[in-house]
Amino acid sequence: MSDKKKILAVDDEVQMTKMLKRNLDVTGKFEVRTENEGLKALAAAKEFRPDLILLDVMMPDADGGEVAAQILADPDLKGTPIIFLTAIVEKQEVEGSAGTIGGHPFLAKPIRTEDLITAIEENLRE
Amino acid sequence: MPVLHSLTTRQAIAKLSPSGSPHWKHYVPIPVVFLVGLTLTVFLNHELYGIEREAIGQRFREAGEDRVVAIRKVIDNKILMLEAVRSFFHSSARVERHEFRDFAQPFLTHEGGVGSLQWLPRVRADERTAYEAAVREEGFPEFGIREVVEGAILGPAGAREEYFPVHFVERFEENRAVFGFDPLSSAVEREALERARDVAQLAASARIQPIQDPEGGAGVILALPVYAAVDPPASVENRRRSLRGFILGIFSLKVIVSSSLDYVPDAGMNLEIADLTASAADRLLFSVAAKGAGSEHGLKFSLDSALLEDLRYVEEISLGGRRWQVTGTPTIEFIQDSLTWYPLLLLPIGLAITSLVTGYFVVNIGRQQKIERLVVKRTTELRHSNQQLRDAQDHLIQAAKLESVGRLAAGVAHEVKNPLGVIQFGIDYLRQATRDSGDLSEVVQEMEDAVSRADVVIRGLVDFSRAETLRKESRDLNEVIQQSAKLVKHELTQHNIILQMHLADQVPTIPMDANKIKQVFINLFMNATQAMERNGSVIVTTGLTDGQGSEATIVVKVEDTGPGIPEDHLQHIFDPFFTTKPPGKGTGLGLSVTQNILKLHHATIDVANRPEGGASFTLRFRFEGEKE
Repeated sequence: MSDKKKILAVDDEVQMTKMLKRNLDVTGKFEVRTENEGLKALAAAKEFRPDLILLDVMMPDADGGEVAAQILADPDLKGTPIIFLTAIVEKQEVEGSAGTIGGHPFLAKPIRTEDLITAIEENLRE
Repeated sequence: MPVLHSLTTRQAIAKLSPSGSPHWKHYVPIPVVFLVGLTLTVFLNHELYGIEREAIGQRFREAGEDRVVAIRKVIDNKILMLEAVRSFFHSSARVERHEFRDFAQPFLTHEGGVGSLQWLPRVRADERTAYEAAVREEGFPEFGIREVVEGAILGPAGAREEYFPVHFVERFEENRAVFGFDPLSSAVEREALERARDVAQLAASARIQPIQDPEGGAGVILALPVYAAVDPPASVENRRRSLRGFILGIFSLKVIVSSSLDYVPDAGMNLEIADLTASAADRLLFSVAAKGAGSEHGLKFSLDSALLEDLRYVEEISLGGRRWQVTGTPTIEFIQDSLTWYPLLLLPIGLAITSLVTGYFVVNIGRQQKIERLVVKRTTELRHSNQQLRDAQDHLIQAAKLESVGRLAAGVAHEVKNPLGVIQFGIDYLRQATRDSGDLSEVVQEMEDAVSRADVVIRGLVDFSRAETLRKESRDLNEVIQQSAKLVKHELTQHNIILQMHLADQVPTIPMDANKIKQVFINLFMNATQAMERNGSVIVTTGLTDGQGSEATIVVKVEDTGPGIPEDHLQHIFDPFFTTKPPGKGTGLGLSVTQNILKLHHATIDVANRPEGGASFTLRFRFEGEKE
């Protein structure tokens, strides 16, 4: 059994998930699975059982917040760390919510891979 | 607090000037009305007095005319009497003494003022003795033709060609002394008689002293020549030759005048009759004072003494070849009785009306002032409300604009940030793949910088366009400036820039979102720092300006010692995305955001270049002035 941490990346942007996966794969530390439809995120998570979920806030078919709530409501997935990725949240809001949305950490696009990995590792430790 | 104190004073003045102290021009009508009223009163008084004087003059003239007419009438009666006697002589070849007496008596009885009525026949020298004898025969044993000898003494007439002795004289007893007297021996009488003879008309003598008048009053002789025929001869020569004698009347002037005055009512007129044909010494014939004249009453007004002197009635009467001048002068009583109080009454009445009209103007101007003040007040209030409405409208428009831009920006941000995220991941992958490959690493770094710059722009746009909800609380602007300065202190020190603060001792607190206002000052300080790059000063000054009540403002100046702003850039400096900084150094949104925040606070920002160099930003925060 691989000791790679399983990361589920959910974002409607195919290119985004593709590039994200490539960059994380390169590190050799993560096993990344991507999902481009918000509505399928819960099913993907139940099947993949990720150690951490990277979740886009705004998707055409689903709201990131709602998806997170469904995932966390699932007994099997309860407690899975989630990091939100967003293109719309502004700096002030980040400051106002201490860098979190609904208690979950938050990264604003564009995200440097280095920052992403740091955030993942920090959240996996918790 | 000197600044605040001076503001209060100036505010007070500013408040007063448009409405408190009315312009002096408003009061001009008051003295004008008063002066016009006063002038009109004096003028009318003068005019009324003039009219009254004119009326008095007219009345006086009429009284004078009445008197002259009356005197003429009396004299005409005397002349008529003489002519009647002459006709009597013409109609009788011989008139006996008793016939003359009978004829003359009715005249003497009815006509006052007749001293005596005489018949003076012509007696030639050769007839004298027979004549004198004949008269003596009539019962006058001492009769003889006499004349003036040694002055007034009557003595026997000297020998001469002819004599005109007083033959008949009625009122004989009173005139007995002149019986037989030849008046031609006296210069005054001779002049009149010879003239009457030569002109064949009535002749009047100069003033005489009739012996009949015991009071010694002046008199006059009227002489009518009687020729042989009824019609007088044409030539003087023939007149002298055919002369039969003279009818003489001796009249007392006093009686003539006083009897004439019986015909006219007393009018307070003193009369004087002068003989203009006589020598200056003998000119005055008669003068009479009006009844009650010369009383001691003072005149009503000093002006009347002029009237007393000015008023004169002068008329000439032609009588028997002499020119008599009748002069009437008024008595003080006449003036007193003629004057009325009307001109004097006009003065207080005129003054009262003037005062009333002036008072009306004072009240009216006061009322007008009040209305004008009210209009100014209401206009100011309206203007203020209007400004507030405009501001609110601007604010709404601005908010609406910002909202739509904000929506757009949010959409754009989402759409742009995702690709930027992809690119960033791509860059990260490439960096990892091209590690240690020299030029490629550099290219990757440039790409990352570009992504970062694009990201800053997107963030700025979102910042700029966001419809903000201000969290306002009353704050001291000086404090907020000082807090902002602290936040940029590190940045300023790094660039070796000194921040000089000249803050007013005390500024009124104003409602503001302190975080936003801090952002404003941070933007301005950073802007100045970037303009100067290294070494220089940022000078912050706060102060108060007076204004119109609620227009009072706190003025903040943020100046730098940098190169200033090119003149053609000044008007665009607050436009979004306008920047003078090198590419990558600024988003061009800082001053736009600053201006927006200030607009949300109803404050303004202006920019100018300082004469000594550097840029100067002036911020004005309005606040409600102190109500006094």
